[in-house]
Amino acid sequence: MGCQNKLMVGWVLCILLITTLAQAEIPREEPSAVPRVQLDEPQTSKNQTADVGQQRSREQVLALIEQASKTKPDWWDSVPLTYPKTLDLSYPAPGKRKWDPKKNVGQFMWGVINENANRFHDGTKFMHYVHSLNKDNPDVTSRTMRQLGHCYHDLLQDWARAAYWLKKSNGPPVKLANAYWQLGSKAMATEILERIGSDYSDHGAAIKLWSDMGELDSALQLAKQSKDPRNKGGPYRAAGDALQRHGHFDEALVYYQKVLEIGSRFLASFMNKNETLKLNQNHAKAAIESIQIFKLFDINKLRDGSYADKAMGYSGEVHIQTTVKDHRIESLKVTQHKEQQYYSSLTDMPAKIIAQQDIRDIDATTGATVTADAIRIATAKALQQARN
Amino acid sequence: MRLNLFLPFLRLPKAGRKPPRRSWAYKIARKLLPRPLFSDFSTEKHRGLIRRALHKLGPGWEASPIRRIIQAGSFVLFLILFFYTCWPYSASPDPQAQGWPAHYADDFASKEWIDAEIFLALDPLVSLSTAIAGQTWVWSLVWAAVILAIGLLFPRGFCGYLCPLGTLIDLFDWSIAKRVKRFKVKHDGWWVNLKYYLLLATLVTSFFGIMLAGIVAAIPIITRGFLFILAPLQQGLMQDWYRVPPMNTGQAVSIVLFAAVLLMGLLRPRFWCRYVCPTGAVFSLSNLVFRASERKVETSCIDCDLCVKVCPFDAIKADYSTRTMDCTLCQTCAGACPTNAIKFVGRWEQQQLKPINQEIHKETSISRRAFLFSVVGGTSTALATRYGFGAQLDKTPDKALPVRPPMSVPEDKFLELCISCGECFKVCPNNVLQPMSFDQGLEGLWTPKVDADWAGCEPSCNNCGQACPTGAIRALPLAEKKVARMGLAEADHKTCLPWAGEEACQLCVDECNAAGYNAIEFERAHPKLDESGLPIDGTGFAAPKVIDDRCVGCGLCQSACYRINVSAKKLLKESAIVIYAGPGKEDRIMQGLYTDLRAGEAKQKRLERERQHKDIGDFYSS
Repeated sequence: MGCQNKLMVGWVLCILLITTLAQAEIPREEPSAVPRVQLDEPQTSKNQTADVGQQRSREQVLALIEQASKTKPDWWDSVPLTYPKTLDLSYPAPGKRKWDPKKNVGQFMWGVINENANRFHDGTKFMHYVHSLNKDNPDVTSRTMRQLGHCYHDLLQDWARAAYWLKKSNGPPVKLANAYWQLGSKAMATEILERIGSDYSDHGAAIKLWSDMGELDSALQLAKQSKDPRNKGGPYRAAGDALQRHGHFDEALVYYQKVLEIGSRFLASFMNKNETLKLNQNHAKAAIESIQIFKLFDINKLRDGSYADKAMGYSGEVHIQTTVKDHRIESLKVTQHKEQQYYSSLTDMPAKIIAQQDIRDIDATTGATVTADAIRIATAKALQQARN
Repeated sequence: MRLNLFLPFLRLPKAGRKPPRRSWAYKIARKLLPRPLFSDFSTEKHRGLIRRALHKLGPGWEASPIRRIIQAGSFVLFLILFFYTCWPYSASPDPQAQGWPAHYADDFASKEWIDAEIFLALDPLVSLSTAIAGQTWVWSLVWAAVILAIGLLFPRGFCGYLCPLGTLIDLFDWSIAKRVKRFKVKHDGWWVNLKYYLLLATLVTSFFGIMLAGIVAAIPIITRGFLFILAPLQQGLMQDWYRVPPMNTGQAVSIVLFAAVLLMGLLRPRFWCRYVCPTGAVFSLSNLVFRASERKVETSCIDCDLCVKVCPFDAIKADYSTRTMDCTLCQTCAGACPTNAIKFVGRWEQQQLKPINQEIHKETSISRRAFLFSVVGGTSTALATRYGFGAQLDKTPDKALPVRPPMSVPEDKFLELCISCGECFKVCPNNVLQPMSFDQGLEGLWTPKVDADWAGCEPSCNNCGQACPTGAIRALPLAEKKVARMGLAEADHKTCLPWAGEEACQLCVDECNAAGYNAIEFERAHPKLDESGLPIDGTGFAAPKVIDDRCVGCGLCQSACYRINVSAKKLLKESAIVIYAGPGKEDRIMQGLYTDLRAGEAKQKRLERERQHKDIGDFYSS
């Protein structure tokens, strides 16, 4: 026993020494030789018309949407209307045309605006402009309204305006349901989701939303109903995520295993070209790995110190750094990431983990589960280092 | 007036002579300092410790120690400025600092308690010829005026006391040249007046707007020699050899010239300074205009010839009178003179002078033929450079123009003002600035260009402008450098990995954002389209797109692409994103502020936006 204690003290000292040395190294390194890591300021939209978590009645939600649709967003006046003058503002229907984001509005939105977080407001204002130019042409406005729904939901997370435009454009129902739920009406969201019989989306969006709303059974039922005709693994993945997030690790493993089996059951050469399946399988692999870590997680067995690790997010690795003191997760920060959308989870998720002092049963910020999961998994991996 | 710096009190008096007059300083020193330091005059044989120590150091030290001390101090100052002040790598970013980083600029400013380029500014040929070539006021003319004003008392004093090249040549002569006898020349030749011809030719070329003074002027020669030989050593030993850029032909030529200057010492001691140095010729000529002091020889001279032998500048004629245009008042002769016959006094003061006998030695005069030859030579060099072996700016395609340091003056003016001294290379962190070879002929030889394959321009640094002695790179605050455009990045859609559909890569974007310019954004390149013509999520690559009005051309993107994609991964032959100079891509102005340029553009944009707002009206609708 005494010998072991001594060994342990030795290890702790070693690690302390190494960490101090590693920290002491930093200022001595040449500034140019080190890739400069800079964390973009998370763009938590201050514009959200409703606080997430607050419950509202149907009437209240509809009133909120109605009010938001009539008022300009608060960023409106500070954002200039800028767009390339080469764009064809008549926004004709997409067809067999050459890919040219300099000319085609839809391709500009998809290829340029979506890619640059600092242009989300620009793009939304521009889409309003295209909408106003073509307001007498229902064929074009059907597209502009859809785009506006996409802008407010995916890019700006302005749920009231998102709901308004999604409804008006008859856009993706899961997104509308999500907007309603975010605005505080689970009932309205449920109403839409119940009409959805199966989920064909790449990552199982409807299943995920059921899970986000806490309806695990509905999520699993939908997953069972979803045939996943293109074998992308979306429904199984979403089901696995749902179970995992609610703490049912063993059941989650079954679903993740199913995602991994898809390729082996079909022509591998054909499947290899399916990017979505590849992404889902990578996710499943990481999730299986993290479940094993989650199962072993015990806050009382953590050693003091500072730990860092990384995991795959939407568009690249998410790096985190965490410090543990007296069996408490003292701090958790995202140090490096390449995520372009859903910034809010970059700050929300660490806050939640610190508040709950756990990494297992945490509701992720909706719409950003990939980023949130990455943070959770990276934290789990980092804390694995801290186990005795 | 007495200008005796050779410390006559150190001398041992000859028997029977009156001991030299004691100054009050000597009397105080004698009271305070221990006796053994001083010579014992009563015994007439015993030399003091000071005298013996100086004797050990050499005849120059013994004869004129004050001059040697000043020379050594000046040389050490030059070394400190070169190796310490101009060493940019002592800077490190302050993790607590807010806002735009400034560590390189701050570090240089904190070490520059004396102008790093002071010796270059003191070189009157540098400032004279830049002023003539550029036809502008050059701030270092002030220093030239100062040093020429000091020349009122010490006409060629700069050469004897301050010039670091002179000191280096002294060191070379003392350590090497004096041991090699076979190349020594005995008799004077036409080359005795070479420095005047060289000066004339240089000024004539300057007059034609061709700047060649940097090739022959003294201080640029030693700066460049140190830069190309010792600076790589410093970087290799203090950091790592992989950080030393490879040498080009131009640098090799410079090293050969530098070696030639030193090796001239094999012909005669300080051969370069005496006969060739055109900077020295400026001082010599200033002798004709003003001179308050002079070396005079009294009748007590015993014709021992010692002074002629010790004179390091060949400034004493065979009749022991002075070649005033060459005398630096180093006072070695006076210190060596056994009879104390040499005095440095006011020019107007009459002493009991030794009669002058011009017949003994015939002076080599400036020949009319050589004079004409240098005028013609200067002119033809200038014309040949302008129309043949020069920059040929009007014929150069934009993409072949070199990217100059940030805040450089317009290219034609730049070539006129830049003396290729190399000071900017030394202060530049990571060797972003590198000397050009003969790409622009003689005109652009050793001028700085940005080699963005090697490294990118540090956002926190404006050292090159601060160190430039002629204003070819403007010395403006970091806030100006931050927005001054030196070029514009351009991604090659054929080779850039995401643009070519090869693989995802965002090295340039990350580098640009980390530096704080945010001048490259993404565009999805070549996505796959479904049957209805809509792009499929997850297909294609996010490819870099340069935002023209944010890019300053620092080249960090290019170096990142080169470092990883070309050098490390060998995916490309050359960087896929490259910075180009040329009209519209860089701000090259003689005066005015770059922040004003940007403010003007911002105002223009605002007005346009307001006009647009008026025309379009309110389009927010639901």
